[in-house]
Amino acid sequence: MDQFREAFREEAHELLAELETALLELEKDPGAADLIGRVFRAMHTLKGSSGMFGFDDINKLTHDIENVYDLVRGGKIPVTSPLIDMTLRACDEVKKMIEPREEGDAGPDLKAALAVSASFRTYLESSRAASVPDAARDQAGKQTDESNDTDKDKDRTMTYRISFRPAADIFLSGTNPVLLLNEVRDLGLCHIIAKTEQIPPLDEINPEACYTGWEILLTSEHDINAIRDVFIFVEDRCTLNIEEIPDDSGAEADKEDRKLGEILVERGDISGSDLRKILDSHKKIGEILVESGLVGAEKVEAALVEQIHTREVKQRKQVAETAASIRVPAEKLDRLVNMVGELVTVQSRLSQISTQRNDPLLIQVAEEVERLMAELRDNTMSIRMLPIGSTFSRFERLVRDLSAELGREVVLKTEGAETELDKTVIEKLNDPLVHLIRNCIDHGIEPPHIREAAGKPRQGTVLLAAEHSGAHVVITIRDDGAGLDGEAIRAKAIERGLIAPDTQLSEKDLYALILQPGFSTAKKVSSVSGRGVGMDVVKRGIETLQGTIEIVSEKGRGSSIILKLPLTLAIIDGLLVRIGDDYFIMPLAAIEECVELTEADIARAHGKCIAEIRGEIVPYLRLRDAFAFIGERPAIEQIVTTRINGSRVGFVVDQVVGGHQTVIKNLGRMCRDVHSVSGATILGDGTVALILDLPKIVQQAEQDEATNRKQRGY
Amino acid sequence: MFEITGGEDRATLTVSGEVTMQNALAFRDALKEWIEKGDTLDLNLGGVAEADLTCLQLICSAHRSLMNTKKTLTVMGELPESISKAAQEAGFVRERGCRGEESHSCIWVMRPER
Amino acid sequence: MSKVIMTVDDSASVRQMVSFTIRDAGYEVIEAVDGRDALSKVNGRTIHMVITDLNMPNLDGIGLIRELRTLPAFKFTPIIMLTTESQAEKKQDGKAAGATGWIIKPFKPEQLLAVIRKVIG
Repeated sequence: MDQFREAFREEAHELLAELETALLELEKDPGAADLIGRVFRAMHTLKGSSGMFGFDDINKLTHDIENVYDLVRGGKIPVTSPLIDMTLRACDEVKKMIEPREEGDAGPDLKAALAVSASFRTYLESSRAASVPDAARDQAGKQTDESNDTDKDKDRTMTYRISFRPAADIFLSGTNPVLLLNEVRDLGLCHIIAKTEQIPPLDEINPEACYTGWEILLTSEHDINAIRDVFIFVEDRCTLNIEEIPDDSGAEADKEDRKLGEILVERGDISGSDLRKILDSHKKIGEILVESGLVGAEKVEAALVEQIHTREVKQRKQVAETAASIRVPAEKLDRLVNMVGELVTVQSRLSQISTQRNDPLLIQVAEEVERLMAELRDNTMSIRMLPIGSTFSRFERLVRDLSAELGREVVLKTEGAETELDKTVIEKLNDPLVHLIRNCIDHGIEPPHIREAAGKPRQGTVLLAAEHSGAHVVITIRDDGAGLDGEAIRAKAIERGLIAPDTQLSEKDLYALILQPGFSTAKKVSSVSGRGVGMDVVKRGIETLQGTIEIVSEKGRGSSIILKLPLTLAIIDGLLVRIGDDYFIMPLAAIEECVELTEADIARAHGKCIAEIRGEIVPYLRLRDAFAFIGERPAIEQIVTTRINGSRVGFVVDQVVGGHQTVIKNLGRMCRDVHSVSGATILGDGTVALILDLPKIVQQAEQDEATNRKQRGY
Repeated sequence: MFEITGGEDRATLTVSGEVTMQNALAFRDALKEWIEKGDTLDLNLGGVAEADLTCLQLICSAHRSLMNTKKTLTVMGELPESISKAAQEAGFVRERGCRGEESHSCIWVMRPER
Repeated sequence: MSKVIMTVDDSASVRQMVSFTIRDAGYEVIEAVDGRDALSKVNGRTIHMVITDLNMPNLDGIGLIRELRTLPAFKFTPIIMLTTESQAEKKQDGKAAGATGWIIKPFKPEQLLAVIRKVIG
């Protein structure tokens, strides 16, 4: 577009010079029609091209001037010297407006231009005898709005009966009506039948005239205006009739196909009484009607096509419906999931008892039940899974509106829309995603001129991607904007007292600061983001979903926010461990391996909580200590190593019992301030096991460590 | 290009190249001359490279001119891609002939799949 | 063989933008600066479509459309006029002269291409 803007500038200079000469000559000879024509034309060209290349201010100004000169040209108002003065002043303003602007330059003061513009309007008001045609505006609006209209009512389809007969001389206007038919075909499922009965024999035919009309049946998700728009150029060169066929997908669709006779009556081709008479004889109705001369063959043909069309539409609908299967209230599903949860608990009891009894027959049955149960669980869970795409599509609108509001040019790309996630997770994900995308556009993507200066495309890209990763779904929101400014974050965090001035932080930890409550680096508070209430809300939202947030950023290149979420919140695969007499569940997804920890190992580490596992030094946390258990620890403990936030951490427990299908029960309001536990489950024998929130435990330990150090005076 | 061969009882019209609005008048004239020339009329459309609505209308018109005569019109071979595409797009392909029962002679009537 | 489109406009920038857009879409382009220039360039060439501005010196758009329609080669050729919203009457004149359709200025490249597809497929 820029090359064109440059060309426009050159051209505008020429036009302005031409305008000035013409105006000055006109002042000497106010009646000269050719001079007025020159002024008008120059103004008109200026207006047309300025609008095209984004000089909207010039476009508005010249529009007002053009209106006045239109009247001058029509002899309705005379050329006066104040008018010439005003026009020359306007030329000066336009000259200022076309100058290329430096970055950050707000452009010329538009007040003067606005004043000139207003003066023309007043001039027009005071001297206008007849009104300037404004009807054209409707037309203009209609054409530009076309694209917006078409995506309304996406999920509702309508069937239209369109009859289209172009005027005989339609070809002489350069119109090929068949192309219009093709355009209608693009709108949806379509049957088109030509009505050729008016084609005369060779002796009478004018080969260059159009004798054909069309009956079109269209089932489309577009509204009637989209159909009218197809025919916009030929509106006054054809007879066009569009009517909606009442949608009978309800009660009537269950009955048979619509009868040919009924269609003809509905179309007004025959009367009801004629139909009854004919139905009494037992021949094919179409043939009888044609033979009896009641209806032309063409009309029967058209009705037949309509019958075929409706049948086809119905079939498609049925196919769609069987594929989409049945709708069930979400509540029923939740109940089912709960019951499966209970069953899982009962099943694990059964397994436990069968092992205790050591009865081969019982064990066999219990194993069978266990296998079926796992399948039932997975199936039930999958029912609740929805593709995340439905959420994604909502954001397109958001991005469009926001980028317009903020003067950014942004395109949203999505990947992995088919990735499935638990329904409740998707629902709770909406708000955090809205916020993250807002942040990308508001803080991340730079305004177009800054992007250009940085050698990037004007249009920024926000990528929203989802993919499966084990028992998790990873959602990435990536922008190609400015990236996070580590120094600004640091400064702000110090200012807000979030960190001490001398704190050394890794990049990752630095970025994580923006998730803290009360943090915002944007200089200006906008309606979109920047009040600092956003990111911590996002963080909390993701944490209630058992998810994690990671921020990666490269200055000048953009940043990514990576959300890792569990597939489902109802049942997880867990590892059952024992400490003392109590049982705990660790989510299996984070666990890497279990190894023994002996007294000898502990002695080797010289009092530090680290262990060497397969040549790697792994720090560990003794849960017995973390939870302040009383009593001696066993001689051989076990370390469960996990990967949390990218690093390996071990958790020491008394005993690893084994895998456990864990039905998650919420702890309830009383325990909502307990951070190291995310829920509870009921074991086979009826005892309760707490589900450990491992990342939280690590975080807690790190904090304790930090306070300890401070107290110890480090 | 329009070429008429034969005569007396059997006349053949061979049509080729573009048959569109631009030469619709010529096509009409050729059709008229041809149907005067014989009683058994063969139409060879195999060489038609491009056809539009005027072409379809003229073929219908020729067919119509013969309706109440003893002359017979036969389209030789398969319709070329150009014409079947034009007929499909313009909605000429139909279930039955334009005058009710003469469907057996209408060239646009959907034929069973080969 | 790609189709040939003639663009007629006295504004170099609009002409440039139109040419660029349609050439990019795979059509061949002939440019003309006004009606008279256009008529001098149509000689003997197959032109599948004409896009013309209305206000032009020498021979304006309406005049050009009228002249073109008298030529046998342009009897059925789609002719699109570029108008502005304030030219409702002009649009009528253009249609009466034989214009196929119109595009309202300012327009975007996509709108231009949509109209081209509409009239030459």
